[in-house]
Amino acid sequence: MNRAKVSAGAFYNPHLADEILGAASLVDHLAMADPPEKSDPHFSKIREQFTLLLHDFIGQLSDPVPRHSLQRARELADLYGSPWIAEHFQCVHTQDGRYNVDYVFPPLYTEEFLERYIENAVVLKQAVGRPLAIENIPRYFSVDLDEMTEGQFLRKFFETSGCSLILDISHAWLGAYYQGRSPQDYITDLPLEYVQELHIAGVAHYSDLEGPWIGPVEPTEEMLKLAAWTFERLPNCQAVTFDAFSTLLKPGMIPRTMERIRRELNLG
Amino acid sequence: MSSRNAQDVILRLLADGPYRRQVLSGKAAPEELKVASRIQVEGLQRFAVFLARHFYRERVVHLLKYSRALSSLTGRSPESVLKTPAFNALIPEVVLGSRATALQVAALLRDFLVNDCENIQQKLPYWKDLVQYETAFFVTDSPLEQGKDPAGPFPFVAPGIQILNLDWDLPSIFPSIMDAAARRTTQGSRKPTRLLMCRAAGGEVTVARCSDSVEKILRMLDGNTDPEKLQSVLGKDEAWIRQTLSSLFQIGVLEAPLLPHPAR
Repeated sequence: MNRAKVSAGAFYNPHLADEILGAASLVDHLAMADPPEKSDPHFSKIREQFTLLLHDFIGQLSDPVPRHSLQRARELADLYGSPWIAEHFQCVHTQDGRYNVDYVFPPLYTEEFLERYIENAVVLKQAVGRPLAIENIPRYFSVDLDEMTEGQFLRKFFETSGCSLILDISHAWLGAYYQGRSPQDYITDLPLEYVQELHIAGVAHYSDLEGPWIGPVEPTEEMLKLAAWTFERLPNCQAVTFDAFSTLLKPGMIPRTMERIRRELNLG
Repeated sequence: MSSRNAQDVILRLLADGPYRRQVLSGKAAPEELKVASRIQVEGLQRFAVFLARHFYRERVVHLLKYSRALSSLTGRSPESVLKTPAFNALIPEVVLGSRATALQVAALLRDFLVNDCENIQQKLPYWKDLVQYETAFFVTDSPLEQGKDPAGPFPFVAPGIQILNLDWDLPSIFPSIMDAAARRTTQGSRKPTRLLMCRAAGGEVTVARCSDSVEKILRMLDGNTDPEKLQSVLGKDEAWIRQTLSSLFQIGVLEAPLLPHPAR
């Protein structure tokens, strides 16, 4: 892998726009979790200065994507000039639209879901006219309704769909933690040759969960070392992203974490 | 049951507290019970509690942004209500995103923000109006479970719209609340203000000033009143009526299932 060609970036957090604009030597790209607010005074500069990546606009690919959402995704990808677009392996609302957890939540790993994801991912990719990368999502509680492991599901999906994987290292760490496995063992089961982008984030303790979960915090040294260990095993990785998007993010966190990521992964 | 339908059962178990209680106590269709029997129940319960707090935190932070911006002056961050025993007690009844739960959370927010608030009211005389505005916005943001059948062949006011009669002209105060330097000194302008709040089909909440004429329109259009009568009652010209009705349709205040074109 040519590390000089790997882009390093973060998520665009509008309340930290000034700081992000001032960190151009550390940040090459920004993932856009929300469309820009009309009132955002910084967006035109952000767009000028950074490569922008459309992230998780559609929400779930387990069901057919409405035509107007495909159109909007295309418009946003064009606005950003997004070299690829990203979605999550999640299924967060019911088919009738009545119930929506509005939070990342993975599907059951079954043949039916596999077919659904492949079909809808291909439609999205063609509608937007850009490559599509999909991010792994951890499961907090066990559900004995899968027909295959997450790793098998992802491998079959990528072999057929022509999409690539965004491997979120903290999601993998959490998946391993709640299955009682080592993170390295868990990660090795994933189709690493399909990873286009590596996400790095921290995990926080939640009393409601009586344990760790996704949080808008800096990665620990352990998490960074796991990211570096994984990065060595990704022959096709093109980007590394600090995955934190929240109004809770404090000034200083993004530049500091970008420096740590660049140092640990030897990204220059 | 297909795995997509099984996923729906899991999602509903996470989102709908009363349904979760019913299923976990064994009162549900056999297929739903079969799905539930394959889930680690303690983990499901914990994750549902986590989701309830997360879901409403996201909305409180976004929709009560003015009272949140003022928290350094009031000592009351609206999202703190989500850590209170009162919210904990509500969690088993929470149905994420429902209008019923939004009303309950809004009541908790109102109590938390305005009870014993005399010292805040002295500093920020528009405080109670602001809380009324933001909690109404919070409720309007959630969809109504059921629409309303048209009462007749003409346009009618959509269910769930809110009209707020305030003592303070809040829209003119909002920019200074969001300005860290100005928020300490702004007293705002005391001026009777009527605002209309509604949610369009796409989910977008609109707030508009509501003039006496618009209020009359809303009182008149019950589905049985021909909009052509508005002109004589309001003393407005046809172009004004047409433009106003068109705007009210656009933001979701009016519905007209039987009419081919909103403004006719």
